Amino acid sequence: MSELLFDKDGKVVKGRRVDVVSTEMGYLWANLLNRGFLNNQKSLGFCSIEDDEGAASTALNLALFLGAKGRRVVFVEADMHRATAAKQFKLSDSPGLAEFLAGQASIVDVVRPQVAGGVDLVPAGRSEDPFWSFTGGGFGKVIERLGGSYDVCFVSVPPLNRAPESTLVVRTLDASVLVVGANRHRSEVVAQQTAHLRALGTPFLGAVLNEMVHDVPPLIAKLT
Amino acid sequence: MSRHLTENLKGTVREAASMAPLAPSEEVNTLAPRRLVASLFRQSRLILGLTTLGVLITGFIALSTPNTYRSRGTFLYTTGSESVQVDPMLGGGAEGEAILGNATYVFQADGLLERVIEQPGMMQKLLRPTTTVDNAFLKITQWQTPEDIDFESEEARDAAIKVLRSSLELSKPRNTDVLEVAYTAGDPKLAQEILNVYMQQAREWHLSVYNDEARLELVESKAKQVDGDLAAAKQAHESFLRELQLHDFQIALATAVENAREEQRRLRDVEGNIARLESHIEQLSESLETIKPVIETEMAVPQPDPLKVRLEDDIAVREAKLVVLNTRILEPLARKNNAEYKSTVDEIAALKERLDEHLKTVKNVGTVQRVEVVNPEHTETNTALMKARLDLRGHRSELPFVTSASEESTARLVLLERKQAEYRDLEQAVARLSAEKERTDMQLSQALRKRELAKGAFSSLQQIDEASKPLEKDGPNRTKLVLMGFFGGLFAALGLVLLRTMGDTTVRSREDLDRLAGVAVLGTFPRLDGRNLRRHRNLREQST
Repeated sequence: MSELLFDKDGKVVKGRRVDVVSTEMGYLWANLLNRGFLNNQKSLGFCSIEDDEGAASTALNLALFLGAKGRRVVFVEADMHRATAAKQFKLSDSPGLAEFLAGQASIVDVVRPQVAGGVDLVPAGRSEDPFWSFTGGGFGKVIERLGGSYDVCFVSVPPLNRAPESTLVVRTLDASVLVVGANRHRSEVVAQQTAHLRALGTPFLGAVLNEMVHDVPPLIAKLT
Repeated sequence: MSRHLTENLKGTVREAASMAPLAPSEEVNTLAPRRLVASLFRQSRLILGLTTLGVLITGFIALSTPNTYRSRGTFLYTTGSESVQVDPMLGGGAEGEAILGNATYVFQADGLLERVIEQPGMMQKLLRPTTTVDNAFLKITQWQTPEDIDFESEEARDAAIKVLRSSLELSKPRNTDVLEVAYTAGDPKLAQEILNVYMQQAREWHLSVYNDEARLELVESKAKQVDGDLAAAKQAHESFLRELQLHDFQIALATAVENAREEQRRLRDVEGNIARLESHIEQLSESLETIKPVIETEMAVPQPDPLKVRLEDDIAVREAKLVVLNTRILEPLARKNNAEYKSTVDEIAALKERLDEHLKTVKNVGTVQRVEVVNPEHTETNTALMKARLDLRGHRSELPFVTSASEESTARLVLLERKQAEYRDLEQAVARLSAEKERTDMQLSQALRKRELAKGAFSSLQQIDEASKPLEKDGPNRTKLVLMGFFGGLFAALGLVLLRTMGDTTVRSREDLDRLAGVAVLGTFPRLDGRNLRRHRNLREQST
C-alpha cells in the first residue's frame, strides 16, 4: 500500500487517512477496470468543473497507488494554470509539458523518472499562453509516446469551466473521468458537464465524488 | 443489512457486470427523509442560531417587562327595568348585554377619569409609580420616564388619563348584575390604592349625574320655548290662509291655475267669434247688394171655373156636416143606420163623381203670363245677415264680462304664486317645530322620571367589594415567554431548513450522483477531517 498520498491541497496524507484514501483508490481502480479501462485504453484524463475540486490530487494519488502496486505509471500535469506537482515532489517545474509543446525540450527532458515507486512525472512547465500550447497537436504526440512506454497514463485536465484548452486535452485522451467536489455544484451543472464531456467523443467512464461530508451520524444514518 | 449497504452493493454489482448505471431515482422530485435529515444536521448551526435568537429576544422581553399586579373591585347593579339605567339622560333602556357596553362608556368617560387624576397624589402615582416590592424589573423601566415632569401641564394630564384608561379593565360575569373593575400596576399596593380612589370617585360621579337638577330645568325651559314657537308658527300659518281666504293653499293654487286657463280660453273664443261674425256680415252685406229682391217669371194662370168652384164648395159644406155628425154619432153601426148620415155621404159621393166628370171634360189650360215674384236667394241672404247681426250683438254684449272674468282669475293666480314661497316657509317651520316638540317632550318625560328616582337617593351603582390587594404577580409569565421564543425560533429554523432543502439540488452524496442519468459513480472520497473520516470508515464497515 502506498504510503505517499496527497490531499486536495497538495499536503501529504498521514496516519489513518492513508488507509482510507488507499481503500477508496482501490475501489476507484476496480470500478475503472469494470468500466473497461485498460482493455484498449491507456490514457485517462481526470477532469473537474472548477478549480480546487481535487482532480489532480485524485489522478496523482491513483498513479501513486498503482505505482506502489508495481504498475508503470506516468502522471502528466496538463493544467498549466495551477502547476503544483513538481513542487509536491520538490522538483523543478521546468522544463515541463509546456516547453515540450513549445518545442523547447524533448520528451526525455520533461519526464521526471521515479518520483515515487513506479511513477514518473511530467510537470506542467511554464507557459505564457496555455491554450495555444495545446493547439499545435503536440499534446497528442506526448500521449502517444508515453503510451508506448508505460502501462497507464494519467492526465490532470485543466478545469472545464476555466480553461478552454481542457476540451483539446480530453479529445486527445483514451477516456475521461469527472471529479466532482461535494457540496459545490447543482446536479444540473454536473449533468451538463458530463454531457459536454461525452460530446467531445472521448469515452466518459464516470464520476468521482471528492471531499464528501457525512453530515448525519452513522447511528441516525442507519435509521434512515 | 443497511439500506446504504444495499445500494452500494447494487451499484458495485452493476459496475462489475458493466451494466448501465441505475436509472435516476424515482424520488427525484420528492424530499427523501435521509436528505432532509442530512440537511438538518448540515444546517444545525442555523437551527441553533435561530432558536438561540428566539430565546434571547423573548428573554430580553421577559426581563425588561416589569411584574404587573392586578387589583380587583366589584360594583353591583340592582335589578329593575328603571334602575338598570346607568344614565337615563342617554335615552333608551340599557338591558342585558348592553349594560357592559354602557358601563364601559360611563366608567371610562373623560369626566370620571379627570376626577380621579385630580385627587391628591394621583398624578404622581400614575406617571411616576413607586414600588414597595423588590421589583428590579420596574426599576428597569424607570429610566424611560423623564426626570422632571410638570404635573400641572396638559401633556401630563393627558398622559395620566392614558395610563389610567389603559390600565383599567371592566368585565361583567354572565347572568349576574355584578360589574368587576380591575386595575393593573407594577406594584400591588399602588394598584389597590388607585383602584380604591377610582371606585370612590365613580360612585360620587354617578350620584351627581343622577341628581342633576340643572339639567331638568334646562329641558323644561327648552320644552316650553318649543311649545311657544310652535304655537306662533301655527298662528302665522292660519293667518296666512285666512288673509287669502283659503282652506287649503295647494288646492286653491291648482284651482286658480285651472280657472285662469279656462277664462283665457273663453275670452279667446268670444273674441274669435266676434271677428268671424263681423267678417261674415260684411260678406253677406256685399252679396245682398248684388242680389235683386224680386224677379220676373212666366207662370200659367188658370181660367176661373164657377162650376168647379160651386161643386167643391158643396163638397166642403157636406164634409163639414159629416164631421159634425161624426162627433155626434160615435158608433159606426149607428152611423150606418142614420138616414141623415147616409144621405150626406151619398151626396158627397155624387158631388165628387160629378166633379170628376167635369174635370175630365173641361181642360183648363189657362194662360201664361209674366209675373214678378220675390227672389228666394235674396230672402235667404237677408235672413242669414239678420241672424249674423243678432249673433254678433250677443257676443259683443258678452265680451266685457268674459274679459273681466279672465283678468280676475289671472290676478288671483299671480297673487297665489307670489305667496307660495311664504306659504312653504310657514309649512316647514310648523313641521320642524312639531318634530322638535316631540323630541323635547321625550327628553322631558325622561328627565322627570329620573327626578323621581333621584328623590329617593336611589343609585343603580353600589360598591360591594373594596379594591383587593394582589397577593401575587399577574404577569408576565417569563417561563412561557422564553419557551415561546424557543419554540418559535426552532420552528422558524426548521421551516427555513425545509424551504432551503426542497429547492436544493446540490450534489452532496453518492446518491445525488447516482440520480444523474448515465453517470456511473466510480468512487467516493471523504473530506479528510477526523469526524468525517470516522463516519466514512463506519459506513464502509457497515457496507462490507
